[in-house]
Amino acid sequence: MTLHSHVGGYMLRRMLFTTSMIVALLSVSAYPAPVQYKVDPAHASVVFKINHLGFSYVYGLFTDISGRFVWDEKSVGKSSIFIVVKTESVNTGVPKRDDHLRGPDFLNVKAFPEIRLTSKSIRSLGNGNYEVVAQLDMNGVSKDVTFNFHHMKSGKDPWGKMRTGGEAAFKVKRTDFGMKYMSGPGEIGDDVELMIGLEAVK
Amino acid sequence: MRIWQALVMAIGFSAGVYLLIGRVSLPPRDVNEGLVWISLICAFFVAVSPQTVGGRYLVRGLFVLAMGVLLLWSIRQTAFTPPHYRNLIAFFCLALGVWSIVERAATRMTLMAVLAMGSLAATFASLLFVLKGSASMSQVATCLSVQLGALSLLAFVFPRRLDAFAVLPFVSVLPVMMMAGGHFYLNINPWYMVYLSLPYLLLWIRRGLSFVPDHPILETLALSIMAAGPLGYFIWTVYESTGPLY
Repeated sequence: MTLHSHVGGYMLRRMLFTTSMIVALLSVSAYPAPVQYKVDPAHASVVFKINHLGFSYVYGLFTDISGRFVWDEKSVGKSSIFIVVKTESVNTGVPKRDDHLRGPDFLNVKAFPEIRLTSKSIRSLGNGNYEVVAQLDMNGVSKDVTFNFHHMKSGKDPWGKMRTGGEAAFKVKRTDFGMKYMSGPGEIGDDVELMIGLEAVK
Repeated sequence: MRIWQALVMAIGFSAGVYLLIGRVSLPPRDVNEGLVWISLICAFFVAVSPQTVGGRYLVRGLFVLAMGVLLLWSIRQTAFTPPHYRNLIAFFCLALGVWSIVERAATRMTLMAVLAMGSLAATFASLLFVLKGSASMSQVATCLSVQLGALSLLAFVFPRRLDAFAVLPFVSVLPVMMMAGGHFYLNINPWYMVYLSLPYLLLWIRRGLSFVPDHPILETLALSIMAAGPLGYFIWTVYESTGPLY
């Protein structure tokens, strides 16, 4: 082996090392890879508000919520949200009214045990706000809804798990989903305001 | 003529339900949509019903099965399961039995009284539904009740114009399907539906009720009072325990 070939081999190894370091550094970008989260049912709320005869509002909530979302901070458009709400879990604090809500006049829980919200596109609006276009499946009807999702925080919770969360609020017309019971003027409101607060863990 | 009368009845009922609930799809998405298709099947039965007794019974059984499938289609995952088999069989037998009773009664009694009994069964089903959690099902039952009531008056005014066999499925099996819907969709005690069948029981034992006159109006009035009295009391007890609908 000549001195020339020895120096050439050293240079080659050096170049390979440098190149591999650059590639490794580039692959660890400022954005983490897409993270899949599972909705934490104990810290997820779907609250609704509806006008009652024009006098005031009645509030209710769904207590059985599950789902998952994939969050890609590098490319938000590749993120997705999927939420499932068990309609049987509707609760307004009055059992007889809840039974009526579960029946064919409203949620028809025997035929449609789940409400599903499946995102179609997500666009960043800045400052942790995202515009979400999602398909809402309720009462046998599928409709697209658009709403703002405010991403509040991602990070480790006190138990060391990666956790994220945020909230959204939007309105739907119940008659669009086949719930026409007492939907005339001065009766039970057609607009249902939905407020969603979600936490999810990795 | 018979087929046309059955079609008018089915289309009238379907249009009424559509106006009330605002949607009808196939396969049906809920109990009310299922009842619309069942009414059309009733008209189809009138068109294809065989003349022989055995054949008619067989076809009737197949039609009741088809109606049951349509009624429970939207909840088929839970309805067609072992815990429900007993009640499915019970409602199948109730539908066939009531259909048979009404068909026989139509040949021995005034059509006005037979139609009035069907109307009463639908009326009390409507009241029960509204107390047990569904105004829309109640409205659909009211729709049938009004139709049968109007037909009852028509049968009195034009006794020869109305063909009894054109309307029998609407008087018998359609109300029973509504009752089955009440049980499977609203969890109403199935025995309540047996109570609602009291008007049909009166049709069954009509020959034994010799004190009831044969005159159309008097017969209708007497049987209506005998059916409405106990059923009214029954609905009152339900109201006392459940209170009004929210």
